Amino acid sequence: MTGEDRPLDLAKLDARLKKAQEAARARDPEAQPGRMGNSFGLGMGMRVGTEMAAALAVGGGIGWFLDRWLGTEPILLLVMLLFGLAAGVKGAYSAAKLMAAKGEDGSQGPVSKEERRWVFSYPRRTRPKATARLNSSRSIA
Amino acid sequence: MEVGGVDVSFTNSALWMVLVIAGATLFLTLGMQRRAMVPGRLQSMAEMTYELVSGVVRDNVGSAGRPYFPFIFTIFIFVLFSNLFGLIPYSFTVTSHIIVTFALAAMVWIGVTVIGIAKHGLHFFSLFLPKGIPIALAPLLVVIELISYLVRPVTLSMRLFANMMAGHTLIKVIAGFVVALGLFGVVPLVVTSAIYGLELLVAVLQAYVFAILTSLYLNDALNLH
Repeated sequence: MTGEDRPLDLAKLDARLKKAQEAARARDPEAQPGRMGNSFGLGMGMRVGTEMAAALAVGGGIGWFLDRWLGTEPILLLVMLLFGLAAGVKGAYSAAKLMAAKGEDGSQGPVSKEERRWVFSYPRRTRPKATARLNSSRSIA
Repeated sequence: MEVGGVDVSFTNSALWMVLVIAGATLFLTLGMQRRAMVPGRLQSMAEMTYELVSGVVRDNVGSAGRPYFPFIFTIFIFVLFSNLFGLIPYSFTVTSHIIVTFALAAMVWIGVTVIGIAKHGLHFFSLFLPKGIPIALAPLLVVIELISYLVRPVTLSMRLFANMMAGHTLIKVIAGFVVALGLFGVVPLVVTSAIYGLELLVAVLQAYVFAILTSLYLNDALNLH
């Protein structure tokens, strides 16, 4: 903490921040500060694709090696390809499920409300209130 | 240069990894140097990076993931800076080589597996048997679950590598048209700058996705089902 930050200045800054946030919300009511928004779908779409392809390749690879080892060409290769396909579909399904869960209510993953409350950052007294919301307050900078 | 039969030459990949680490260290130490109550630009960038990753770990793993936060933050910042440094003209993108991303992903995967076994012992392997299924289906589902577990390092590395590789190839191909087309080269020039903006987004997004998936895998190992 530096000496130049007087409480009065902070109160003023807080008021300005609030004003700027309200202005930003009025401009774009859908926007949520600090979230990646729709662009996250790009990564998730890519994820579904690679999930399917890679599972098929890994399943086929395992089958191929087992075949060479046990001398059962090509039975295990075919069987493991099918298993790989199943694993790929399962992976794509869980990726899509994750995408849907994140999109709807903003809650992410299997964590309860109580657990979400803890924050492992700097001690509370030096923690600047303004930081988390700076995304929406560009106009005052 | 060889040490014990292993090639340890200082390649340009190694050079850029050093630069990436130096850049990340400078960014965080310079950013947090003043520790002002009301942060400046650099400081709030550093703090927002920190809070982004801490939010990812908190939301995906919960309080059990707290000890592993420094590791996930390190991975995130390394991938982020590698991706971003790769966008500087004439630079080298470390993460566009699959061996680099695969080494990162394998590190995560092996680490998560070891953590899971250390925490839960043999009970860890119940991860491969979904809850509440008829016992007749178990042999099938165990194989499927096993494959989807083995696939993780592959998809994790492939996604990052493919994104960085594809983006850079696209930019270079289109930029190659600028001179060849003469006066009409203005068109690919405009397209190149637009794609450059998209690549900036992809660079940050892929680092974010890498951090999210790392914490999801960690969550599977820490909180079994």
